[in-house]
Amino acid sequence: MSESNSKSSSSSTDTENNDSGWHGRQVAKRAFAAEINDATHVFKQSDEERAPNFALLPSGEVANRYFLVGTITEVNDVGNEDEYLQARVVDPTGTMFVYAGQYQPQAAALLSSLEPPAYVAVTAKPSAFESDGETYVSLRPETTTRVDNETRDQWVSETIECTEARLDAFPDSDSEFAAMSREQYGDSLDLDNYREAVNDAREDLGMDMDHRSDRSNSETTTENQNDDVSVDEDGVTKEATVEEAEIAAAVANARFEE
Amino acid sequence: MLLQQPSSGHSHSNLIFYLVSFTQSNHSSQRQQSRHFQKMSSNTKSAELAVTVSDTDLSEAATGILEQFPDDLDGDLPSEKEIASRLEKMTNQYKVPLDEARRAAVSHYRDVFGLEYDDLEFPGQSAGDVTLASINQHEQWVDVTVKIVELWDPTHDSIDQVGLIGDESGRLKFTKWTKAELPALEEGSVYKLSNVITSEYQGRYSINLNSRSTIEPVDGDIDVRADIEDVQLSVPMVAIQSGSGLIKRCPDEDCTRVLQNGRCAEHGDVEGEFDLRIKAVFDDGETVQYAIFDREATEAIAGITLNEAIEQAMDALDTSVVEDALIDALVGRYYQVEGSIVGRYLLVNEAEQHG
Ligand SMILES: [Zn+2]
Repeated sequence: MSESNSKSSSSSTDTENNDSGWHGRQVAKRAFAAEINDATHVFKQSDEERAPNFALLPSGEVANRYFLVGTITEVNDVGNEDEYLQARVVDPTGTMFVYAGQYQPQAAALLSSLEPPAYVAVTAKPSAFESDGETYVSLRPETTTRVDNETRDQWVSETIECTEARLDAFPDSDSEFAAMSREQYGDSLDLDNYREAVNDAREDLGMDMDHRSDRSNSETTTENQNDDVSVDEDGVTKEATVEEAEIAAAVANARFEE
Repeated sequence: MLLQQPSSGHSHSNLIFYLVSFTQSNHSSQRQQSRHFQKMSSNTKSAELAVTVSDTDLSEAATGILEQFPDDLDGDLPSEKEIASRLEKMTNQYKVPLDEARRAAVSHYRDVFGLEYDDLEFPGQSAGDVTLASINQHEQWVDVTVKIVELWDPTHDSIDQVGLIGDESGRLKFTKWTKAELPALEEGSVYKLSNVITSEYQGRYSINLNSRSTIEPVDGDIDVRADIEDVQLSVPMVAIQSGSGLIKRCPDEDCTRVLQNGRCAEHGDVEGEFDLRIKAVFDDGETVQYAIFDREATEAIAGITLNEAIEQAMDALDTSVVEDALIDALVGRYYQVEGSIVGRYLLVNEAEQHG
């Protein structure tokens, strides 16, 4: 319990802590939509009911919580009786789905009052659900706030750094989560996708391109003024294939989990 | 190197030398004679400033040093003259106070002969009761009354126990040497540690317990001063925890606990006093840092005064509107934060939003 430990106690690979402990709060990871949506393997490290869920990032880390900033492009009520809001949150690499109902009053209040497009910062917990044999990632917000474009750009540049650090470490990593990623995502694991995502993000910020991987398509974004509506094509397609009521039902089940 | 030691001008080592004459009984006649001079020396207190030191003073200081060496030390003991000339050089040539010169000379000969402090015939008389924060000298004999804050694992057989001691003034590392054969100290207990010797390494002081030290358990507890570490962070705030915003505190001066439903955990139902605070969570993606904004820091970052917050709550008939407003206004943004780490919390001194 020495105080010098307190700062490192929530280290990135430490999943032992639960949310109730002194050092217990889980770190909020930074990742782009491209990777968050691929982090479909969600697991617990213990059998305890209250044990935290972790999403396995393909780049070899786990996330119990994300901090992200993006553009809200659309908010829909997908609930049956009670209001249940689905928000599309877009970053330079794709679209994430954030769901807020009566158990997320702060986020629900904000989402229902927003006029899209708008920048939002979201602290959220990931979960995964299946539909038509596909696994989708949904995010349950803890706090959602409206922010400005400087905050958004800062998040993008921070997330570029965090993602690159994970990608750089992956090839030589002997961490259990890198191994788990190779095992879980197997053939579908293509880390170049996330290099491309990083390049998209750099381009979004008007930064110099990183040429470590080839960009397959370069038409997605042009300049900063387009950010608000640069909806990722994959995101749109994905959503179209899923019945909205189905999503709502699946997520409603997941929302009681810690 | 010896000359770089700060010269404090303290005269406690005079005291040590003075007491030699009372505590040691089986000396040669030559030494008895020198004791007479030491007594005088302790009264003259010539060491406060680096004025010219007389030959008599140098000579008696040299004898005093010589006397500390064990009788059975092999061969090459320095002569009194040799020591005196070393002292003379430091005092009259390099303007070092006699006290410091003496300390340095002892340290020098100790190195030369490979002696530990335990081997020297210091009477082990202490400069007396001091607080940990006041310790600012290398190799000073002191008494302290402390709580054992933490025990660490010794890294070497020569160390019996090592850890952190604390009193109201601060905390220091301590080392209890195996050779000292002292009783075990227990974590959380309070002791009077007498005749312990300080040491300094790279500006940090620590306390050593050796065979001349004594340990005496003390009843009661000590409110150990928290360690304070100043930090600057550039991080987003990812959450504001409940219990933030407009709160009520117990009016008891010594209590100031935050009331839960109008109740103080200590004093029961009380008429609380309004206060503002934020319990925030900063998170850089690697580590979590809990933070507290006191009223002043809250007013500064949120641009709202305590009275305005009270008005908001009155209008809404609900104090939680203040917390809600703080969440909407502050969470999700990046900040430059400056403050002190106390335990698990960063006490925010100043925070400014980036961008
Ligand atoms: Zn009270």
